[in-house]
Amino acid sequence: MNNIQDMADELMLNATMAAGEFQQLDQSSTDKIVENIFKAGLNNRVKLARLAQEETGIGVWQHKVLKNVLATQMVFENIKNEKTVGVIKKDDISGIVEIAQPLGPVFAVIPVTNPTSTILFKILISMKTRNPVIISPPRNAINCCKETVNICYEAALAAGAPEDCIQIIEHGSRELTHAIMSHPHLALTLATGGTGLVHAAYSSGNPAIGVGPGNVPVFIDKSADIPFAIENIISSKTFDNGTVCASEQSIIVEKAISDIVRKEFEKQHCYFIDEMEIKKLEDYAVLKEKGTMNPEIVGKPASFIAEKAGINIPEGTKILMARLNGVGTEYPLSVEILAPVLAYYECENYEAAIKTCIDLNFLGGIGHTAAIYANDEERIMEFSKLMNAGRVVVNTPSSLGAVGGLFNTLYTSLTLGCGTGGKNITTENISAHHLINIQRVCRRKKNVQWFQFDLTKYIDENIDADNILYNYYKNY
Amino acid sequence: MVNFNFDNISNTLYCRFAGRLDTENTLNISETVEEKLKGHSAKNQKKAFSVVFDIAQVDYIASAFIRVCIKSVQQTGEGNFSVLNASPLIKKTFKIAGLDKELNVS
Repeated sequence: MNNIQDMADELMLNATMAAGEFQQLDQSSTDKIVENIFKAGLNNRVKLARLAQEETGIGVWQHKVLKNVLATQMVFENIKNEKTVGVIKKDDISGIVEIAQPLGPVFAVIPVTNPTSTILFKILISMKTRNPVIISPPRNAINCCKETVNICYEAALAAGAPEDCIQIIEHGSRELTHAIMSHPHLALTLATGGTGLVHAAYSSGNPAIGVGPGNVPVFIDKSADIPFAIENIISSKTFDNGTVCASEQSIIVEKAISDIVRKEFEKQHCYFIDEMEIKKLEDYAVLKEKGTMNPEIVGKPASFIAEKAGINIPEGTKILMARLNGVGTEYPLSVEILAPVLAYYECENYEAAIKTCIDLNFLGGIGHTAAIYANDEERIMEFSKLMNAGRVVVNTPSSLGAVGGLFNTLYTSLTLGCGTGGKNITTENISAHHLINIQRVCRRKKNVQWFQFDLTKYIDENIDADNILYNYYKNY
Repeated sequence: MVNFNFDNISNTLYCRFAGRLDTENTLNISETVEEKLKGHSAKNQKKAFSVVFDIAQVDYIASAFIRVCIKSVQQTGEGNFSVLNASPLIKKTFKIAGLDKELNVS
């Protein structure tokens, strides 16, 4: 089959037929399918993690195992008891009954940074909501994605799922992606990827749930437990070599505690590069023409990056720390870098530090995630209100904190909504409840106030709003 | 209530504001500010000059004040105008308006 539109039509026909069959399943049959997929995914967590790392050369396979666990076990824990079929809520007082209806075929675009885990996650939430899913893998992770899909599909079929409830595009192209995204039978695109992809999904004419880019500022307040903060930051920023979009990008401290913080970073094997080395790192790590990170460094260890940039670092260095004096395009390392590189800001006082956090937050990371280490509740709340972030994680590694499930009770998700700042419809961690249409059956419940109100008052333009409200609520 | 005063120090006009710059208060001061800035128009200057709005003592700004800033930067020319000592909340206000760079807010 050569024609792109024919390929899209074929995939969509399979998916719509699966959708038709799927909507006949009840909650317990649906849950059985979800449980089977969850177990198959969890049983294959190590194999899939190794495959992903070997194929993409990105990240650390042991960490990818944990990502697969999050995407299966933690997601399953979140959704296993959720009602997603038929009547999901009934309120006798309001007279409203809510019925969950599936959306229809879902198009799931997968990022190269978290290929197997994102597939496991998207398949689980799609199956839980009886939506067939078409997986679009990244070019350089096709094999691990195919293996993940095969494992999940076999498990789904074994539990009674409809044929073609999970499909994968084996020979993808930009044109095919566009043809599916804009296909009249598609219900939704779950777009996890770069800004261009998310924009294409939103422009397709079909509904889309997308993500936004991150540029996570981490403020370490003087009330923080500094060694604890540094330990958490390092574990988070080195997790899968920094590939999580919610990972820390910049550390901001007041001058008063900067020496202690720097020494602690050094003690815990982070290396502060000097001005010459910063220049070298900027030249290698950031693409000048675009002002964005060089894709070559994504998910690579500090030693690899330092060598490529021509910087000598002590053996065992975990993170390259670059002290910067400003934020913006003139300071290339102040942008998002999905690798163990951190910008470091020493600010005159608390107010200057917070203003630097605002600058960083607005430099390509609006709506995503911000982090604070503090034991001063007032400052935590002030910081949180000033950030434009869907998630403000407190005394928590931001990468795993934002993803949810381990350090807090946020929904575990591999698709983090960034609100309108990130051009998304929600700031929530996306999960199964975003993939149902809720139908509301509304019983007649007379609005007594309305019926006893003299409606002719509305016709009289001399009666003002206060008068209307007084009479509307009179005797209540 | 809003207070403001002006200082002319080595070709820099400092306008210091204090209080709440809501719409009404801004309208009350905008004519005076405009008047003061006339002498600092880019066209009238031979030497280097600049205009600084110091808002360290300001706890609220209305969009009317942002308009005064825009008018000021148009009059003085970009690079010659800045807003100093904004509180974090007010800095965020300029960010959301997308004018923090143009108005050189810090």
